[in-house]
Amino acid sequence: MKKVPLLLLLLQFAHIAAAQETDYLMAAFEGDKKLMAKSGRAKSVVIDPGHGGPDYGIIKGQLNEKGVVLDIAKRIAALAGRGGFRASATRSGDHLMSFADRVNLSSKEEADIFLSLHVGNHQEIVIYVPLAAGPSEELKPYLAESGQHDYQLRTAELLKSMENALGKGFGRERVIAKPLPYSMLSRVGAAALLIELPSFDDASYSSELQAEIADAIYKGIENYEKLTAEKES
Amino acid sequence: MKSSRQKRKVRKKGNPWSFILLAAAVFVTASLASYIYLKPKFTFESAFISEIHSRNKSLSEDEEKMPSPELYGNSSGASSEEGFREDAALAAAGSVITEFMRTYEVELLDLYMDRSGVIYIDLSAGLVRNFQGDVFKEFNVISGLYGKIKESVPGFTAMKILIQGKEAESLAGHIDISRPVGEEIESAGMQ
Ligand SMILES: [Zn+2]
Repeated sequence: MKKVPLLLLLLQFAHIAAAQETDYLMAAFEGDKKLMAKSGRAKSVVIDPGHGGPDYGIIKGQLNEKGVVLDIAKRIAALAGRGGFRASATRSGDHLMSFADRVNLSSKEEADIFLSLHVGNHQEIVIYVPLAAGPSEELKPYLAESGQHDYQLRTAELLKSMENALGKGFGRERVIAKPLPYSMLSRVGAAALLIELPSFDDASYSSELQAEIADAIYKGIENYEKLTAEKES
Repeated sequence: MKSSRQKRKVRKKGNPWSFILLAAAVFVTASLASYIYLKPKFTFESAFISEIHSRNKSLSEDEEKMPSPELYGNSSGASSEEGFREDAALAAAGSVITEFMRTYEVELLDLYMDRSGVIYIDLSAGLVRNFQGDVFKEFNVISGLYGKIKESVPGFTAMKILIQGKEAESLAGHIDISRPVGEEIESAGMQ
């Protein structure tokens, strides 16, 4: 009789240990699956409309950044879906998402392309390129785990494609590229850019203009797909 | 024979109770053991917070050995001249930051520096509500803060912004401040 509680206790520990072992195996399996999936399947596009919920972003009269970028994101996702991409968005409604959740979603969707959308206080379309590393000793341990590290070349190619497409649509002089340190995008393991659209003073954001913007950004995605497909074949 | 059977009967009568007691004891012991075993696995602690804790722990261990405090801005009992000098620099940085953040109706709640030169700036909430800025403007607030501190505090290496005493991801949805901000903020070529 005395052996029974000891046996039960041991069983309980064995159960916990087995569960952990399974977790490790599952994680390793998921990793392999991810690698297999990334080659030879439809490219995954994740659109990330900025702000949301209590964070309105920039407000001008009836217009607010969180709403405008959500509308444009939906249009881009629809175009990408029709074009044969696997398209998704970090948020499809009016709620605030943390940076961590946005980055996690890009991993979950195995993003090949990740585009954050914002509205700025300028006339131009500014394309921000995430910086993956810096010289500061304090930061090195943190940057070592940065997701962008292996994707800098892809990001540069996406930038080129996007500059061309947006330049064609809205004029070369209206498209500016800038490096951006301390961006959530540094943690994203995909070709990633933050596109900041012209201010509410410089653009009406009528339904037509939103469609034009979405169209130009989608063309940038298509250009990039062609570029990488040529390299992969 | 009869008496021994009776005895056995009596013993059998006691058995369910001892089994219930035993089962209860097993349940309590097993739950306690699982709790002790699993507790650390379910305790959320970010890598950065645990780093601060380990730093503070080694700091307090070191403080026991060394009388002069090295966590500036927390200097009750500061005796060395160097300690006072650092405190003065931190106080000067504090007033510059207070002035700088006033535009955004954000208060400086606390300011301290650890031994590796990382300055912790604890700000009141409210920048998201009062901001109305884009990537460039938010970047400028953070690089401005960095510049102001660098001007006034020698030995400063990086800054960690807290909001209401807690780690925050961002001030206004563009710049990631979940990790300490270092000198890259000045050499980014944003201008
Ligand atoms: Zn924004």
